[in-house]
Amino acid sequence: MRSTWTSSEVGRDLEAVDWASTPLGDPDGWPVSLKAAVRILLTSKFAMWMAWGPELTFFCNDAYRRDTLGDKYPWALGQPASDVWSEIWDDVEPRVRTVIETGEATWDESLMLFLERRGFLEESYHTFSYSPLADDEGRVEGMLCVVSEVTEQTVSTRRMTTLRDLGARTTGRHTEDESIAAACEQIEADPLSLPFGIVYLVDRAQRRVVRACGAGVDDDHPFAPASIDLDEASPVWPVAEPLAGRQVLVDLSTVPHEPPVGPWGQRPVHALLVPFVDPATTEPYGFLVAGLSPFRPVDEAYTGFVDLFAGQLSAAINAARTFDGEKRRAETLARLDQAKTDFFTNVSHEFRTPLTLLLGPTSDALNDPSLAADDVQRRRFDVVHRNGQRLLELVNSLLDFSRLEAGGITSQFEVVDLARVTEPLVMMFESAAEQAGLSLEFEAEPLSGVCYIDVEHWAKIVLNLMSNAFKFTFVGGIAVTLRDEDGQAVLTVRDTGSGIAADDLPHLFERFHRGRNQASRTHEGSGIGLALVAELSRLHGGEASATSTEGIGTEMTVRIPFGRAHLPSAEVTDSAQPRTAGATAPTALVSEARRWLAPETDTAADQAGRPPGDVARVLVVDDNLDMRTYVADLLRDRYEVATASDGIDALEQMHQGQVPDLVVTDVMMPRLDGFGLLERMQADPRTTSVPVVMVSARAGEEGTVEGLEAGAADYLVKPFAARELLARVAVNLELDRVRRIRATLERSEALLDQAQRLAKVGSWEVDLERQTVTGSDEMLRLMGLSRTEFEAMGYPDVIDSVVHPDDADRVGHALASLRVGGLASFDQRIVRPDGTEKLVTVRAALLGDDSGAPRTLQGSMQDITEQRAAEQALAEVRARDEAAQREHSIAEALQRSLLPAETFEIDHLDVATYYRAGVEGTYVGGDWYDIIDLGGHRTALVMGDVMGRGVRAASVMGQLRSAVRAFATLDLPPHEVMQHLDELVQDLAGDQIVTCVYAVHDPIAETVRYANAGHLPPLVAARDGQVRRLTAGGPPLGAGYGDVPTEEVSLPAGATIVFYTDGLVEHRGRDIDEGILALERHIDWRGTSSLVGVPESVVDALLPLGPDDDVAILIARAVVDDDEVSMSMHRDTGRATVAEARHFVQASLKRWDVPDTVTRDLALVTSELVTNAMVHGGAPVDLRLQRSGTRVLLEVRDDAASSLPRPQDPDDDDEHGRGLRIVETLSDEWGMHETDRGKCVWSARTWSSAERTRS
Amino acid sequence: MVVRREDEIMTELTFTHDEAAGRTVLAVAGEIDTQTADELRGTVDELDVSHRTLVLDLHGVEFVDSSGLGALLGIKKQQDRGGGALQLTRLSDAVARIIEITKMDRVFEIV
Repeated sequence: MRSTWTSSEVGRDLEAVDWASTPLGDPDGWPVSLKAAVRILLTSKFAMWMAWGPELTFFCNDAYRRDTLGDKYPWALGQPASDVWSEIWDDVEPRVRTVIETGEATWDESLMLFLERRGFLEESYHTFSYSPLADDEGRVEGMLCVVSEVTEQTVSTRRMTTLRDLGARTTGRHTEDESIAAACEQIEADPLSLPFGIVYLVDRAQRRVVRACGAGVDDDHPFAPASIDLDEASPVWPVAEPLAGRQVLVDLSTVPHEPPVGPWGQRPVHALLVPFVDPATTEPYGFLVAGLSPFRPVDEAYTGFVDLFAGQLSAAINAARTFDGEKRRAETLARLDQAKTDFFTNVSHEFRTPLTLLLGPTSDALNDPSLAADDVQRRRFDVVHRNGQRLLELVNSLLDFSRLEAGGITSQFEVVDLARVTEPLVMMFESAAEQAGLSLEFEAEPLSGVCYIDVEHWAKIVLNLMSNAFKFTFVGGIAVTLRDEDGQAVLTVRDTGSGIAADDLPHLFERFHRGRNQASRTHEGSGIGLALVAELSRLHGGEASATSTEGIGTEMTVRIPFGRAHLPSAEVTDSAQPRTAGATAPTALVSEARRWLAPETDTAADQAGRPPGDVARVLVVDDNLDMRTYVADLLRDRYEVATASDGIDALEQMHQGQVPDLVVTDVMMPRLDGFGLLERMQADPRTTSVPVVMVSARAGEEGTVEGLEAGAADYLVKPFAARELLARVAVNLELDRVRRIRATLERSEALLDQAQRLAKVGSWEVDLERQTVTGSDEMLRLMGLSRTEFEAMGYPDVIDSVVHPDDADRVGHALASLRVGGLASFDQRIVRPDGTEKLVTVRAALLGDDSGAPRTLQGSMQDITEQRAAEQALAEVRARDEAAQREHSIAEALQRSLLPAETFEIDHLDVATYYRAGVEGTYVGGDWYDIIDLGGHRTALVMGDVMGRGVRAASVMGQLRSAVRAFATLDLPPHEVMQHLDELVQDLAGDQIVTCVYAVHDPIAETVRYANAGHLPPLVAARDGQVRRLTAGGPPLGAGYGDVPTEEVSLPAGATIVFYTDGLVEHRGRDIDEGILALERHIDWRGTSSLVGVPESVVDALLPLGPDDDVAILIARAVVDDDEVSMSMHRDTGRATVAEARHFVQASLKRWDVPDTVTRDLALVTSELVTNAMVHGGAPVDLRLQRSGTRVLLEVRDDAASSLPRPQDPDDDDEHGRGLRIVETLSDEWGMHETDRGKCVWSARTWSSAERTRS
Repeated sequence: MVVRREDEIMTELTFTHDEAAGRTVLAVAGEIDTQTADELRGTVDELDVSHRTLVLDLHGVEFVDSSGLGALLGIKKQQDRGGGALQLTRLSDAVARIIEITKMDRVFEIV
């Protein structure tokens, strides 16, 4: 059997029990039922214990040991049960007895038992059942207890309930005290959870915590003192901890006093201090001292519960405090409201007396006939009276309203024809509306009911609504309607004004409410008007309401129910006839409205009597016309004054016109107030520095400070004395002027310094009387001295200190010799402290004082060191350049003088030449060519080559050229010219080799006769292109020319002759023949066009890399002086054929430069011949025109093979037959002959050069 | 004013007609040759003034050949027949030349 025990731990311990000393004896001897019971006990997982036998010996199982037995294990095993549970035996024993004696089981649910199982008496709850155990004979020998501990649940439930109840109790408590009291009640209601609780709240003012309440503890118990000073050295409770926001568990044995006795007569052992924290500031404002039940372990569950409790209480307190706060605020507001009204009422009364004294006398003055209409006093009285009336209105409105509030108003409701009463009221605004350009309409429909109205009230209602509409409407108009609707009279005032913002609408009819920033005619207004309307409407049993759209318009509505049922009967008077006349309505509202319309050209604009000269301009800005006028008048004597009606107006004026020197502005204005104006002015660079003086009705330091901080130059409070305003304006203008001058000065100084720095010019000044020197920053920089060093030198020592010793005398002398008003200017060197020298230009002027005696030396000093050096370098370079240039020009001129001419004008020959010196940089070499007019149509062509290059060869060449020209004039035959040249060369330069060819062209003989001394053969070809090289000739010049004869070659018209030098055809490594051949090939012998450019192209072709030796080319072509044209005509072309032929001939002849007389005659000839051919001959008719030299041939061919015509001799009457005679007369020769086609009639004409000139 | 291009050929004569003091003045301009002579004759015929004095203003005639001359002759004969007269005035160079060459200056009345 014991083997089954060993399966559980308890079982093992059971084995260890000394059973023999128990009444049960050895387990082996136990009755079966006992054994069975033990087995059941041990194997069950449910907590169970059993007792058996006379001593009720104790057994239990694992579960029971774990849950319930606690410390008493394992001692309890085998002990008598009464010993085991001695502490609760009183509770247990009766039950056990019941079971054993009656055999009936017991049942207990959640029985509270104080168990000692953890070292202290623990409150616990168990649900258990004792059931009998019978022995083998069926006699109840023992009991079995099955137990379930429900402590946790029970305690938790209790705590939850407490919390819930706390919540219930504290909800709805509006005061802190109530909440706390409720909490304490709750604590007392559940002493098992919290034996006691003390609430302490902080009283910071007194630096202590005060007991707010105590639960479970008497008020006078020292354990819970009424207050604990924060500074107390050893307080009853450690207040520091919770006030620092921390929970603290206090061992009550450390507390000097004994805790109160709790339930079950035990004193708590621990208390938990939990802080109350204000969620807004997270600062503890108190704490709860919660006594903890000694019968429960202080575990997390418990402390958590206390925490929750305190938290809930704290929340309740916070809520109460908040509520309290709100209540107080509301009360404060209400009180303020009331105070305002009271204030106004009282003060208003106070106002009336002086107002009366204002209005009375001024009214008298205005009515006094002895006060002249244009008297300036009248205007003043006017202003005073007007404003006095305004004040009076305001006061009256306020009084009305406060009387209403106080219920002091008495009404008198009568039957009234509402339309008839309303209309005049509306129409009082008619003229004002007209003046403002607004439309005003009134429309009333018949009402179905009877209206009981107090006419005085009604007047106020209507006029206030009208005034309001008028104030905010600038364009469009106001429409007033009276309608019948739902048993009510409905008055509607609709305007097209600036409208009301949606969030303002609900507050519209509240006292003192004024719309924000609406565009209105004036900023004035107390905000009472509409409230009054609302109240008065209410008195009538009706109501006032409004709808609006911002920027579109507003509609105000007043509804009055018909009948009298809603009115207090005491105030109603019935009459048979409805009243048609309204009350004598106050006109004040209307006049006020009119005042808003005062023309822009207020008298302030009158500028008569402006002070002359350069005066400051002041701009006065205020939305109140009177104020504007007043201030403007004050200032007008001294300044030029302009006015503006608000901030926007002021800005526009400044933008369009001149910027004022000072602005005086009111603060409260529509559209843009004083501060807004100031801000805008500061943002615009044009106006940012204009001083602004603000004038405000807002008194007090704050207003002034605010104004000044915003940037106003000054801040005046209304009312102000005229003197004060004038003084402030003057001071601010002066300050501004000084500031501007200073700024300008500073700017100028800065500019001057900058300029000096750029120019490297310094300025200096010497005071001759005091012998002091001073200089500009740049001056000091130049000299390398500090200001103190420089000024310490004084004058005239400064000269020796600064000027180069070699220049000092000169400088001193120059300065000393200056006369007053004179100017000296000189260069000098200065020596800087570091030893470096600088070259400077100094200008000095001597200025005198009033008497003309020398007083100051002033001047400038400019560093020209670098400049001078640069100038010198430049000059040197230039000189070198010029020298080189000169040499070059000389050489060039010399060379050019040796060059052959470039163009030649020869009759009979078309000539083109090319010359290029071979040596680079030179213009002439040894080659030359020449063309000489010999007279009588003949031309000499010369080409020569002096061996060698450069200027030396050129000079020989030059001499030879001159010689040839000389010989040419003698008109010697070529070979003789050559002989002479030969001699000359021998004389000039014996070792020189010169080749030369001399040719003479005769256009009449069409020949060229030439002599060639060793020169390359000229080339000749006629139009046929057959080239001949003219190789005949003799040896070069200087070797003895001998008797080589002159050669001749023919040069017909169109033939070309080419002369050239070896530079063109001779190349290293190439046969000279090849060069000549190339030249032959390159010339267009057959060409007829001009030769211009041909030599260049030849050079390009033959010497693509450019010539490296001298090259000369001369190309001459015998001029062909022939022209020919022809045209063909058909008879029936429909064109003016004869005229065509004429014009053709005329044009061709003109092109050929034929004289005009010849052309004219030939035109006539042409006309005759062609007419004949067309009339008598046949088509086609061909015309040919030829010119050769100074002869023209005209041929007309036709196809008619008739007999040859003959000239006739017509009579004077004959219209025909004169043609050929005319031809005969005009031609030098003429004739006709047959052709294969038909015939040809021709006419020839020659002319002389005399004819040419005649045309 | 008529601007003539160089290559443009005058195929037409231009006429200006005026009446003055019992005479008809016809100004002719252009070139009078075989191809334009008929135009001249035709214009004169249209005027139908063979009974009056016809004055031909010839300053605008830039060219006239024998055909033109013949036309002038023809007109003269017509005027003579009609009882009127033909006068030539303001002869251009061309007209003067041909009259000179053909020795017709004694035939025409030149004013």
